[in-house]
Amino acid sequence: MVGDGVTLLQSLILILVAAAGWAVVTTRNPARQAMTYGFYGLTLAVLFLTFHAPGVALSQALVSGVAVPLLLLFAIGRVRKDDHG
Amino acid sequence: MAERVRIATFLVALGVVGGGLGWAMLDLPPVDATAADYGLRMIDIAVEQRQTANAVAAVLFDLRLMDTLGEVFALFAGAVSVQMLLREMEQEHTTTPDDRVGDRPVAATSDAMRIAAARLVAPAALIGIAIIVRGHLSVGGGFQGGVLVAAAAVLVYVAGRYRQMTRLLPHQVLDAGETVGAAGFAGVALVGVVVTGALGANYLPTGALGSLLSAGTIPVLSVLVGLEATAAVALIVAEYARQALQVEGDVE
Repeated sequence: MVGDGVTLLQSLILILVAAAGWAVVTTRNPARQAMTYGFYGLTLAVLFLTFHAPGVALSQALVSGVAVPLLLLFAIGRVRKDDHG
Repeated sequence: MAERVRIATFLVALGVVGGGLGWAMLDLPPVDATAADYGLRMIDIAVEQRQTANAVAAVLFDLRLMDTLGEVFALFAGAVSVQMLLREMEQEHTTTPDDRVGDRPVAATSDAMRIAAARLVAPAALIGIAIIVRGHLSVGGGFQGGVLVAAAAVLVYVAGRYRQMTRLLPHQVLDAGETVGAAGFAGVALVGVVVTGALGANYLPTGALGSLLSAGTIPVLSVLVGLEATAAVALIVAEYARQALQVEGDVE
């Protein structure tokens, strides 16, 4: 794909996104998964940035870097509290 | 048996979705293709007619304002729904906040984490406000900035101050902020009907390209969305945090 309008940097970030996505799927502990998901979202944000979409990158970084992991962690905390007592 | 059915279902779904996606991708323009006519026209209108340096903001808050109006009310409805679903039920009771999982106390937050979080509160809030206010000038806008301002409040909790976070974000203030943001957005759009005869028309003077007071109604709408997004995200997070830390009782 390199040379077909995709730069080397974009290709590297694409590979990083794929690796981070794999990490999310293979993480078994939900609390850790919330964090790997956040990291995956940040790699996606970098990808959008390299494709000249800074506005989308900013939304992506904030939603999947901050909002979603936060809600997941609180929800996991609530469920664990019920499990333990 | 059941697993075999599950795997078969997965493979069929993978074939349909993956195959369809691959097929659709064959028709995509190359990465370095020039923008479509529609996109170029949007940029011309944004810069020349609306004096908006950030063409994305012109699309969000002017040219495609109807879509954003829907988004604003989707967020409003989301926050209201979370509040309604997570209200205290009969078999639940609210306790003083604690950091326990069952009988086991959770490990204390490290000093490094507390200090880092406390130092980041003000920068996050300020950058968030800047992203909201400068939405028509540079990357950003009400939605992104609003999430960042709400995240600043959460950093207060990460710094080890749950009570201060709840005091910083009283429900009444957030409810009011959310309502003013959403209703204000609809109101500004509706005034367009009176002034120019078109819903969501940009009827304020557009000023000079690149100055803070320019682009007509676009920055006004961005600030209103910022208020709405800050309040809605903060409400949802506060509601989740309260569930995790304060509400006890069986979830049925």
